Amino acid sequence: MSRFPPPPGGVSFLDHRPELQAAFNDFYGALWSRGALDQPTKEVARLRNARVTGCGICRNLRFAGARDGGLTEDLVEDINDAYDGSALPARYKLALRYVDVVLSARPAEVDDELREALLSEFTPAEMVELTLTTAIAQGFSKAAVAWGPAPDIPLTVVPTPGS
Amino acid sequence: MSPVTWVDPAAAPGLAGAVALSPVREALQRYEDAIHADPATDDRLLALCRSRFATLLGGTGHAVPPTLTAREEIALEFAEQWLLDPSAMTDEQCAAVRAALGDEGAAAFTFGISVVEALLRTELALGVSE
Repeated sequence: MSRFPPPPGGVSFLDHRPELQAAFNDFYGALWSRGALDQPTKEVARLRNARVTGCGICRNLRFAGARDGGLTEDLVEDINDAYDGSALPARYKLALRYVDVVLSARPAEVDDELREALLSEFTPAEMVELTLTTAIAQGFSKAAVAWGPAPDIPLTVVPTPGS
Repeated sequence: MSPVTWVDPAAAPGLAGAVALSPVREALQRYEDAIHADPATDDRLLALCRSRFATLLGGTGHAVPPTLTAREEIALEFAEQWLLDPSAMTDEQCAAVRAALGDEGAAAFTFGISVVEALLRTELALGVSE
């Protein structure tokens, strides 16, 4: 990030605390590769955050496991403000409604109808991970934006963390 | 009395009880432990940020102590901007935090507030605030 250069030999300002970067990678890898929630749904949440938070890096990054799981680029294109009327599967639309609340200024305001719909679609463990994925991804995006500006990168498919 | 989560009323109360439902709980705990054990982390500063974040996000915060150090005021201003609109962060705010905390401290602070906000949002959304 232009406002916070990496240390000598580092690639990011976060390398000023390599032990914390390693601990983050350990957790993020577990969340993506050893969690209960499927990777495409997590990717839908992560990409919605990227667009809401405005991170040019996160927005164009794709995790291979989600793509292999069926989240095609056509579907990703629909993760925008008009997602409710899009061709996205109902599961993803439901996740997006919740993600928008988690990312909002009032994350506690999950209404009863949305709660019931979520509980009919996701297990409790999946709900915890959908929330964590959204919130942790938001933190990563905010770091890039706050210390940035975060540059737009070309569409890049990378291995899923922890894979 | 702590409210139970709407996600699983049988879960233990609090964020820890909710996170325990997921197989990633141990990895998350290791990450949190690493942040708090890091010599560049200022736990008092993170607690101040958490309280401010809770107030801004509609949860229960505590009043910020009237006697903040200049260093804490600079970091809290950065944290508030981070929460409300990181895209509006200025060069001056970033430079001030790096000068106040040092580069290692500013990096640790970034890890810290990102996790503090993420866990607070998780707690509020799942309805497990204690």
